[in-house]
Amino acid sequence: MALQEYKCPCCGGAIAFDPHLQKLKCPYCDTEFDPEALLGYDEDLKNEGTDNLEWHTDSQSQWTANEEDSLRSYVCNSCGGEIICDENTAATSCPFCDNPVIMMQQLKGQLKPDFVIPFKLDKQQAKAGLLSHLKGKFLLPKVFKDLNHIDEIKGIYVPFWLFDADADADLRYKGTKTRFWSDSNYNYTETSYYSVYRAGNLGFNHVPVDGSSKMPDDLMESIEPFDFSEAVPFQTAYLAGYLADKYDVTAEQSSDRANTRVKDSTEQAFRGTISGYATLTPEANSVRLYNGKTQYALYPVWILNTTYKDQKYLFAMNGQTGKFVGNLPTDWGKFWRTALIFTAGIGALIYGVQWLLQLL
Amino acid sequence: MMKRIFSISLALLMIAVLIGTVSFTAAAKSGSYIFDEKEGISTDSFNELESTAQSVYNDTGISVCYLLTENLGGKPAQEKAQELVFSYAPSTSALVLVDSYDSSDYVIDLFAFGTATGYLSYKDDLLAAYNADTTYAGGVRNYLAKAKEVLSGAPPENSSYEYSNDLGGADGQLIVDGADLLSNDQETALTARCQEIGAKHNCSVVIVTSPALGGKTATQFADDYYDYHGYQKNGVLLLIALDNGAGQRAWAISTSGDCIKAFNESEQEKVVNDIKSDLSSKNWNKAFDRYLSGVNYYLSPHVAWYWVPLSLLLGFGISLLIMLAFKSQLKSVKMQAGAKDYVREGSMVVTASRDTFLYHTVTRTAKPKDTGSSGGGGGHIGSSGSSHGGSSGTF
Repeated sequence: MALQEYKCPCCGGAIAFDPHLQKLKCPYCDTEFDPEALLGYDEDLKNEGTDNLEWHTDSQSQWTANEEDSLRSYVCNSCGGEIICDENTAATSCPFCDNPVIMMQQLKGQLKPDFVIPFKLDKQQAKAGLLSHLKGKFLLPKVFKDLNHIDEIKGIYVPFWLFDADADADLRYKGTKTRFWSDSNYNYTETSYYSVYRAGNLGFNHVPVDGSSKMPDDLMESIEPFDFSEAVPFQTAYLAGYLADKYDVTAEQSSDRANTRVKDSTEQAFRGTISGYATLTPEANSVRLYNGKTQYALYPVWILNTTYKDQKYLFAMNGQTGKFVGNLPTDWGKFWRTALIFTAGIGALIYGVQWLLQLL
Repeated sequence: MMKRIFSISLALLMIAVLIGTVSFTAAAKSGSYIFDEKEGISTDSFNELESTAQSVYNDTGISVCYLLTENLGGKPAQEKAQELVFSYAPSTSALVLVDSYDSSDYVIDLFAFGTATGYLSYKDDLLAAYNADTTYAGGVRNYLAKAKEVLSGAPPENSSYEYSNDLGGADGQLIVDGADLLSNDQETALTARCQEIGAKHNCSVVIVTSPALGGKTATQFADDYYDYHGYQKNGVLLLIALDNGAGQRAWAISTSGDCIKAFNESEQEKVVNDIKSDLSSKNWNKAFDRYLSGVNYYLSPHVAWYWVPLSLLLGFGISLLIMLAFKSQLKSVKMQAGAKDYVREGSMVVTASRDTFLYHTVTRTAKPKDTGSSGGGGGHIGSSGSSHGGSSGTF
């Protein structure tokens, strides 16, 4: 039941985390606060509580059993309105009074994130990021840019599992070197075969894996890398004004993905130490991972979505570095028109060159 | 007193000897028939022999020539003889007696060219006549006399007439109908066409027909004919021979200068295939007419028909590549390949690194051997030393 609203000590308004100042700022009286100052609010999170608590489902309408399980409802502290949200939502704003609220329950005990990278870029910058993403794309339908009707821009803290891993690698390759020489009668080719062996270890820190099933994994991986050096120990204050979800993919499930990535990088790194061979074929590779710590962090992401020709397009911007990604539709008309023009042009050029050769 | 007389008479004697030597020794002389590179014949004798040879030519139409030399320049004697005949003699039907005392070789031989080849059976007689006299001049005198005697009669029955070089064609003549396959009107018309095409492309377009090849191959005959009849540096010659020595009818095309590349072997093949049926059915005029059209087409700048669809196809391929590059701009979402960004600095430790040599294999391929001198891309070199392109065949 515990909803937390951060109220400004000066004027009582709802304060939100400002990315530019890296502090909490009241939009009504412009007073700024350090997150540490509001530490007091976090004290009850130190409890080692376990999981599920009772939920108040005081809604009147008929939900199916499934839906009932996946919904939670809260009562807004400011206006008393009912907030209904996903079971994973940890921070949102009241639909009635727009005050940012934080669901403390979602962040309690085991579910408390270890780290958070606060937002460094604000909503304006997210919009600007979209504009520059759309610029210079030759095959983007012009209408797409012009309409520019963004359905939603949301600042979300996405839950990530961070893996520290140590890899022990044993790699064996077969390599060849070739040598050419000739005498008056023959051309000789000598091929020397080598067995190349590399072993060693490599360490990885904070390999992120998307812990939310709602967030497309490829979208989240595309906005990497996140710079962990700017991460701070988690405080709920940072969430004010943004949306947040808790994880719904367990660390064990995520570790597979992390392991694959670590393995690939290890193999590549050791392959890079081999040089001087004409060909190199892998014979046996074995990478053993000693997973160190697993940590739970919230990373800032700006999500924008828009609809075009009945298709949804999802864009994401890294809230820390500003890297903007998102697949765009293709203007097929323009594609084929331009292809035709190029075909005619290059065809004419080649034919012209043939005639020129004749005249020489 | 006596001393003075003696010294004067000695001086006079020396002067006389000097004058005598001068008048008897000859400078290297060459006329139209007698070529004396060794200075073995006096000027008086030289003139006399020249006029004798001239009268023999007037009577028989055959140039009876003589070469005296010390240096063949590394060429076979026959080749040198042929050169002289082509360069100086009034007709290319000739008998040439060569007397050469090279440092390595001593040659006294008789060669025949053109219609004179029929008289080669008299070689021994002619050489015997030459050798009968110990002086050069005397030997030549005997040789000329014998030649006149021999040439006055008809050639012996069993000689093989070799039409090697004398088809009666003048230098620069474009249609040489040695085998008499065309009427005069046809010849005139074809000559006009040849001139027109030749003027357009700045080359000589020649058609030669011959009853036989005189022991040469069709290609050699064509190359040599072109070289020795005063045509331009660039040109094309078509030869039709009714008997190539093996009872078949043969054709050959010889190209020179720029025409070697402009009218290459595969184009020649196309033209010949086109006219083969006409040649086989002896429609000579039609065949030559179509041949000339073919030559005109291939000598002009032309681009094969298949380049139109081919260049469109290539254009399409390249444009597709470009468009796909543009399309890839639109896609930015993909899974990461590894975790390169998260490698702990300085944590890479290579604990073992072994490059072990296993074994090696050696393969070899034979180098293609040079097959002597090549006249440039399937070409052949004629006896005059100039290279030709061309092809030949039978029909």
